[in-house]
Amino acid sequence: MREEVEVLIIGAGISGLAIAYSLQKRGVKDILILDESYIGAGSTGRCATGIRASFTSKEHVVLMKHSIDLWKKYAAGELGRAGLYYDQSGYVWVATRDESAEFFEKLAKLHNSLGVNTKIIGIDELKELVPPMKVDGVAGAMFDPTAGKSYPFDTIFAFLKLVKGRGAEVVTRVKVTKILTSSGKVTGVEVEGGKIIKASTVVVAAGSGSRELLGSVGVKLPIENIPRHALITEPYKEAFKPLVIDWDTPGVPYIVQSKEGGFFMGRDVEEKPELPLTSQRIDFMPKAVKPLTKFFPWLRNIRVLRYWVGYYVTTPDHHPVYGPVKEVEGLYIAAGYSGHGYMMGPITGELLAEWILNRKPHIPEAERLTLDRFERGALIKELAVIG
Amino acid sequence: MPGTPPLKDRRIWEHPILTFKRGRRVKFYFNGNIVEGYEGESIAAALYAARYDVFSRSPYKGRARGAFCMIGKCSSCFAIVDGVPNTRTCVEPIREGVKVEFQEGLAEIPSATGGLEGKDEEVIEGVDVLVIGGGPAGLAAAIAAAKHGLSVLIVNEHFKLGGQLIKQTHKFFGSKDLFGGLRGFQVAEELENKVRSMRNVRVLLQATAYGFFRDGWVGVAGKDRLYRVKPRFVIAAPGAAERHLAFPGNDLPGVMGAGGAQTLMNEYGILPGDEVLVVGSGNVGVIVSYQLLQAGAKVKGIVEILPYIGAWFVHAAKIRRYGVKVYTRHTIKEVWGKDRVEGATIVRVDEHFKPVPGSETDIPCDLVLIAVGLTPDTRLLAQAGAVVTWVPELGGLVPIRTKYLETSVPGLFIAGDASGIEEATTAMIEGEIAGLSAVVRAGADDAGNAAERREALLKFLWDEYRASPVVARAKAGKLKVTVSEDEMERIRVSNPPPVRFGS
Repeated sequence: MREEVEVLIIGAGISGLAIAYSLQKRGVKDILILDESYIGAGSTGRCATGIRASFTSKEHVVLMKHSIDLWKKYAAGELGRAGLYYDQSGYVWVATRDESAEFFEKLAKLHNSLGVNTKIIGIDELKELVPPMKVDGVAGAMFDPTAGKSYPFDTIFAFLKLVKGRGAEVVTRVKVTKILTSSGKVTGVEVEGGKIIKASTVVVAAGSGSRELLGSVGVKLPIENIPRHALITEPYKEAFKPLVIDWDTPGVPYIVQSKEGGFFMGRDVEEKPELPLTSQRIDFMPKAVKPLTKFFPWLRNIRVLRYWVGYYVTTPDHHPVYGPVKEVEGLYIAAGYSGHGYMMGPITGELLAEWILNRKPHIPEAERLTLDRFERGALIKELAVIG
Repeated sequence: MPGTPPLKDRRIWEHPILTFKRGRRVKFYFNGNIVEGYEGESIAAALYAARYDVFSRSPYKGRARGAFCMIGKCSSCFAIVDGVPNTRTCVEPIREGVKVEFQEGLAEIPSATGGLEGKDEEVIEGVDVLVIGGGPAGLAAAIAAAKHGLSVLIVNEHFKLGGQLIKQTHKFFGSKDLFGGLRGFQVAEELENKVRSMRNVRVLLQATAYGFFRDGWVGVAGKDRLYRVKPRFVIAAPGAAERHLAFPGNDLPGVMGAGGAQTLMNEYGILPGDEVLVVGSGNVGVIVSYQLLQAGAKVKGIVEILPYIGAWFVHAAKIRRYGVKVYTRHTIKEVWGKDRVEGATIVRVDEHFKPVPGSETDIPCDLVLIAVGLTPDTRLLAQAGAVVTWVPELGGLVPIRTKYLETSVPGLFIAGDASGIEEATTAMIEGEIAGLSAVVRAGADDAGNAAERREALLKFLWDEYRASPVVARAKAGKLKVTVSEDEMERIRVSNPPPVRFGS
């Protein structure tokens, strides 16, 4: 492992790898990525693969539109040849209450005004999009054709291959214990065992570990690590393409079929922050699957293969914290996506690379997402956090 | 049934030492064709008997799949049963009229819409001991715990209790209280009768313990309902799975685990093949060869990569009497055939175990048995958070434990093959030790007697039973993973258990 480096990135999830990729495209060669666990061990590898721009804040919508453009561009290029793909198969939101169906109409208008072509669909179109769905009791549905899915491990291994190929060093199972500074400037990090690595630029893209790392230099990152649960079943032939959201069941259960054929399912259940990732709960599987059986009765005869816990690294306004830390020159953050870090990965890479090299991102909405917004009380409002 | 001629197929009707008890005749369907079998048979066994070799094709390459392990440890025998795809037909009993269908690659979503949700989840709180696995270790553990008044719940994946004892037809060695002189299936009967006579033992068949959860819950998926169990102690005795070898054609129906063949032949009385090549000359390879000969098959040879036969002398002598050819310093190169083994190519190896080109021999056969050992089934234990370690002498990953068989998850004990591969007698002794450990820890009335009995068993196990040089390797392995209570406490500090039992 090198002892001195130009850019040191903490975290080898999608954010860290995408930042390295975007920096390399702009000519930065000397990059070291450290991870305390394995590649994608955090929220990247534990996510449920969905990608969308149909949010309810301008910041999210604009950033995710850019991100989806990048997903498509990346899938068509060298990253695609290395295994990354974007399956633009859409999101379907299903309501069983009339009020929700009316809310969908408002939401679709909002999305349309922000340039996302979400649309209200009828029962026939719903059946066409999701053939094995029982539509009794459906009061309304909305379709976002821009949204899609992508398998996280295909994505990060594609990034990993390319960034390593261009000379970045990626070292796993090394825990950074401290960020080091001198007269207001970052100087490097200390890792477990006491070894010091010098760096003039340090990026914290460490997901649930980001708060502790920034705390080591007295920077307060207001995040909570909230356990979220997901499961996947045994594989079947492709039954339907879009991700389906059961909007009117509390906790908003969702289901999406993976490329391999397994059905991902999840639901928000109330949790205390910071519980360990080994804290699986016995009531989760019935809670996630049972409501969905009203639409998909055949789920009763499908076996769950895996069930796991991951963190929604959540900020007070459910938006990420991006960019430079005012108090420490050379220190950057990309964390706190509140459940959307995987889908934002490509745009995260571009934004941070621009911040690091040009001191300014090319998307103005991103500038509102820096850490100092919490001091200034300039929080951003987001209404539609899913699963 | 008087007057009904026996089914003519792969079933064995004349055997020098065994008589097969068969239930009443049952008719069911495979792809719409009527298949007849006998009550008590698994779907996979009945199909195999009726000479159906292929039950499904693999998802990506469309390769034929059929019977392999026969005990629910692999996915080779998947088929669609009453509209439910991916059903392990080897642990599913035949029933009158059940509809079995061939599964072509990845299945379409299930046509059946009934299933688990039909009945509410049953919550079982306050049971003293949950025993996972109803083989020799699990049954011995259940009996030991129940004898001392603890309430016990046994969950067993198969529809029969007894585990691999039911296919063991040889007589056990040792004294009477170790079931010396009885055949394995008779031991299984005795254990089952004992368990069934105890009013504080409940048994769930075709039930899978699927995971350990927050606050000490254990999930169990039964045939038609889910169970949510909160036990005071858990004894895990999930057994082992057969090892396989990598060679072209190793997935062709007719390539089978040696144990799978024993299940067919010894438990169900179904001849697994007519002309057989056995890979591996350890005890299992040699014993299965002898049993095949008794059942009327022709053993074309035994392949052994080492320069000598691995089995104990008593077993090796039997196959020598039959003149079975043992190909020492050989390995299997490939197996060929269309949807069923038609033959195998073996090849000589040099002193570095590398194949010697030009030394191949073709052996026509319809069955290739893989007898290269077992690997402990410790996935559930690892999920529970028990610290496991790789021990080649014990067959793979096994949990670290104290001498009382407690893992790094407090109150979770192990016994039998999952604690490291040995054999049935050891499994029963370990099961009893684990059961008594729960009794001692629960502070039952006669915990003192239980502790005394446990010490006597430990002394016998380590100082007498495992003193024999033939089990030196397994003993060395078990010594490696048995730690003191103090050491276990240190392990728990560095690997905090996600769940705890025993309070």
